[in-house]
Amino acid sequence: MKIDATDEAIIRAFQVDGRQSNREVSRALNISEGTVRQRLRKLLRARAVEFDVVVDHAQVGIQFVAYVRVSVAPRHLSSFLDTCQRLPEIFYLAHVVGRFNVMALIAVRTAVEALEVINTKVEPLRGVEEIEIRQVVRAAKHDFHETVIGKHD
Amino acid sequence: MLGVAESTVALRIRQLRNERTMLVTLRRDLFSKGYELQCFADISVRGRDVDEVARDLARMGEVSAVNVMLGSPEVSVTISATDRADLQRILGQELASIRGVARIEIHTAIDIRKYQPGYANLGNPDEN
Repeated sequence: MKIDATDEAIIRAFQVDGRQSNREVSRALNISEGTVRQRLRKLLRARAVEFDVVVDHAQVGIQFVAYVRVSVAPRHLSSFLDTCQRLPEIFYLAHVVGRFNVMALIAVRTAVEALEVINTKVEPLRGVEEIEIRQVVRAAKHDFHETVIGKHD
Repeated sequence: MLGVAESTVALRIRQLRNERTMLVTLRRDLFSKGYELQCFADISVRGRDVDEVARDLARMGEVSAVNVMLGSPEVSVTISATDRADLQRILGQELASIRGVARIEIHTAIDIRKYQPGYANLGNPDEN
């Protein structure tokens, strides 16, 4: 769908605070409430945007975030991805091309918990040939407004 | 579902938002922004402070995440590109021109199965 400057302004306003009313956004942008309502509905229906909740990781005890890269035998790749997609500890999962063919991001409380997830839920899956874990020390940027709608369970 | 009044839920959500524990936000679909490719670049840094390089990378509009990593390569970034030519430009011109970027290794996503960035450092608005 085509997204114009007014749509962009509405998106930015709701990104700052998704619990604002249409009226509050319309006042801030100096446009009618009906325009905000119609455009937001159109964006939601087209699945260009979605409302969601973001939680501060430190306050819920998430202390260990890591990139997990896996080499999986091609004939087992589909079932590997299906299984990993259901793991709550993994919040990003993709089939990639490069040195590895799976990229995942894991967020858990401790390194020990991460190891347990890897050792008991990932490594035993069929086709796993190599796993590399790279721990994030700190984030210099994280745009949590970006997603792929319709791809997560 | 929770057996509490709607006003209680609204109040708690407001408190959590004010404490920067939780944020209700609008997420944007990567592809609706015109991006067709998402890549992960591992960047080896030489001859410059890693945090300075990370700060320069964070200023790039096509970069949605910059993480300082334990060990080497020292920095990992997530890049969005409109097509292969755009990716080539970002890697060959923008990333390569940042002082301290010595080596780049790429993984390109061809099927994103899950993308739920449900956690963030809300206590540090500079990061977002």
